[in-house]
Amino acid sequence: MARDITVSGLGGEYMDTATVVAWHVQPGEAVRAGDLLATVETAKAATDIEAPCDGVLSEVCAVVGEEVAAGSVLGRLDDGTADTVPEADVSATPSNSSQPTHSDVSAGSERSAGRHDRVVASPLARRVARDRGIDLATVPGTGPNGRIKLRDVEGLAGGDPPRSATAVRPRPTSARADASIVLIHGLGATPSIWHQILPTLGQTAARVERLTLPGHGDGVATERMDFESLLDAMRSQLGGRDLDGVHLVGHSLGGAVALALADERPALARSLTLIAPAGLGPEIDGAFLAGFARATRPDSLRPWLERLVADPECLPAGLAEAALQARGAEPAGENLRRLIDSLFPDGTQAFDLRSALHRVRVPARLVWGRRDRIIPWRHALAAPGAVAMHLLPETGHLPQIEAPDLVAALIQQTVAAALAGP
Amino acid sequence: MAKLRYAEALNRALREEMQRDPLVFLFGEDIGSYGGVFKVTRGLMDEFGAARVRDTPISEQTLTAMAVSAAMAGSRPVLEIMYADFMPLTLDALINQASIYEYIWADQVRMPFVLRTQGGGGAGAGAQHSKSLDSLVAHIPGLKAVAPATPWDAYGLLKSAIRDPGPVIFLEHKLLYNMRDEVPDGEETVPLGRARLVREGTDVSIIASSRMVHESLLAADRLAGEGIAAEVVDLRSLRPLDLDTLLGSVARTHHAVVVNEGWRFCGYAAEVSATLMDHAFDDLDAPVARVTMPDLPIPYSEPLERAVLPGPDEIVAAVRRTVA
Repeated sequence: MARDITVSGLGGEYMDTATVVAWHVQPGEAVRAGDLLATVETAKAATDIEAPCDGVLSEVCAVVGEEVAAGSVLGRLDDGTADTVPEADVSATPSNSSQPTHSDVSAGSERSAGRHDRVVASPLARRVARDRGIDLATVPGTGPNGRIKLRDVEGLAGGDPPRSATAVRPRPTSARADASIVLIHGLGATPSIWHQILPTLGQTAARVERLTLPGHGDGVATERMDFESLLDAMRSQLGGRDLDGVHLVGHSLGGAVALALADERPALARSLTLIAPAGLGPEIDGAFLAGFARATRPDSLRPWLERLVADPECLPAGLAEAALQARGAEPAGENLRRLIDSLFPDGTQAFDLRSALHRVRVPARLVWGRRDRIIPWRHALAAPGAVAMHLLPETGHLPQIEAPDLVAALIQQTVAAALAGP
Repeated sequence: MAKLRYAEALNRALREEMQRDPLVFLFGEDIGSYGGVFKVTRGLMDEFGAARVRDTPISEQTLTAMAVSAAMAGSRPVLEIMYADFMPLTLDALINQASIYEYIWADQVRMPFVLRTQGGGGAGAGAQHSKSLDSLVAHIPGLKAVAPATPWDAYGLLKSAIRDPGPVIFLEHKLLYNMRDEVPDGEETVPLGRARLVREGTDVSIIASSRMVHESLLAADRLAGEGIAAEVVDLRSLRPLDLDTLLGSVARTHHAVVVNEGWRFCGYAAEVSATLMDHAFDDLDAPVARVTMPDLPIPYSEPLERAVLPGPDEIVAAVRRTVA
């Protein structure tokens, strides 16, 4: 349907006629409501004419230089609704109109007059209006300077009015979607150890954060490499984000770190999934630790890596090379050796978190491979009754690599249990 | 749960960290035998000896360079600068050394030190002893800056600051030293970079730190009487800024008023305000407002000082304008 473009609002003395100074849109060009269409000049000032609605400029009735009376029709916009102007009209028009050139725009045609016609609305009101297809030009503003605020668009255009902020936000609002999962890897590993379960976890939680232990991968080594320095580093990695109420997942040494963090700050963890965690008993494979730390070449590292899993076939290709690289700059493995020396002197777990596990009050789950040759799965028996226990057959020390689907599902179950509440 | 004064909470944190880690030592002007002008270090020299609690001459520039050097050499110094107003004397060591040495020396050095100082007006201390210079230190990349508002946070943040591997500027407030409130009984730290939602509300987020948190709470009480439910967020850490907490709050209230006792122009409140515009523009139903000191010296005269310091009146007025 064709909508008239008129010269209106020229009230006042000497304002009964206007001269077309420029057309800023070519016939056939699409415009949005509020776009600048033409500039006209009265005896007093230049005035911009804006599009009254979305559409296509279908007709130019007053060419540049033409003087028109106030209220007369300058041209027409096809708004795309029924009763459209015949296409022939559109194509016929350009040859009739003299095209405006840059020099046609008079010096007085700045957009000074546009201020009155511009919709003044808060960013939030604009967003709500956009989301619901509300034309702000039709909404009276009640804020300062007539600004349209949220309250002015609430309840318009049908639908449920956004009573609360959460109703307005397009972000996910369910508890499930707001969940954050934080993953802490183990000794000598890097965040890439979680690679296989990430896609599944991403469906469960809005955020999945992988922390990096100091001296591992791109985690900067700390002055002292001991358990407290690991906690410090994790606190500071968590510190920049408001991550209270996260779902903590830790593997091996990372499991011990996760447990200690949850213990010192109960608000931090909404749930806890510990995969073959350290800290629940004195035994650990000392030969593995020594050989693993000493290895400087893929050939000497590979046999130790194979001890990590029940079936060496499941190890990703190039793992030994990647693991060596993850140990950082020269001296290779020095950070690792210092850490092992501090945490596992004489092949013994020198720290004990069993009492911390008994203090856990959030849904917690232990996942352990029955063929774990690094830390005996029987350490899981230290858990109190409220902690769920999953002993995986034919699985070694890396359940997240050996049985990724199951591990991801178990983490999801822990998260779901926490979200469901007691 | 024990109730301690803010100064006592700091004292306890220092004592515990010195007991925990023999590398922690204190130095500064009058902190030893006199126990500090605000008595934060009272009794520590007796307990730990003059080697670990050192009285120094008056030279903030030298002291800060000492802190940098001691940290580089492997200890964990805690330096007290008596007034934040003297911070300009520390800046070369902070800007050209502490904040960049890890970068310049490619991680071969660590810079674990804490610079404690106190600022703020309201004590009739005049134009050279009353300033809040948050933006001066928060401006510098490589430094962390915290400003606790409560004894609990003073205790927990100081412990975290001492354990942090990098330089932390710890900004206390002279009017808060006598505030008595709960402090955790056991070992508990407050993480750096984490704000705290002090009061929940639906209509406006008042974002403050240090003493301005308490002024904001007074304002929120008054606003509640007018039917305006104000949320109050205590930043606790000025840098790193806990953006997630701020964005979460503004997403609920759609209005923000940033309160800071420092000057307005290029001030800390300006930074928070601009950051909110960057990240929460589409959540805002009004421009972010600032409540700050006017750009003036702080007068010695009590009525004049009261007139320039931001307080509940200014906060209430800014909130009313914002939610209008």
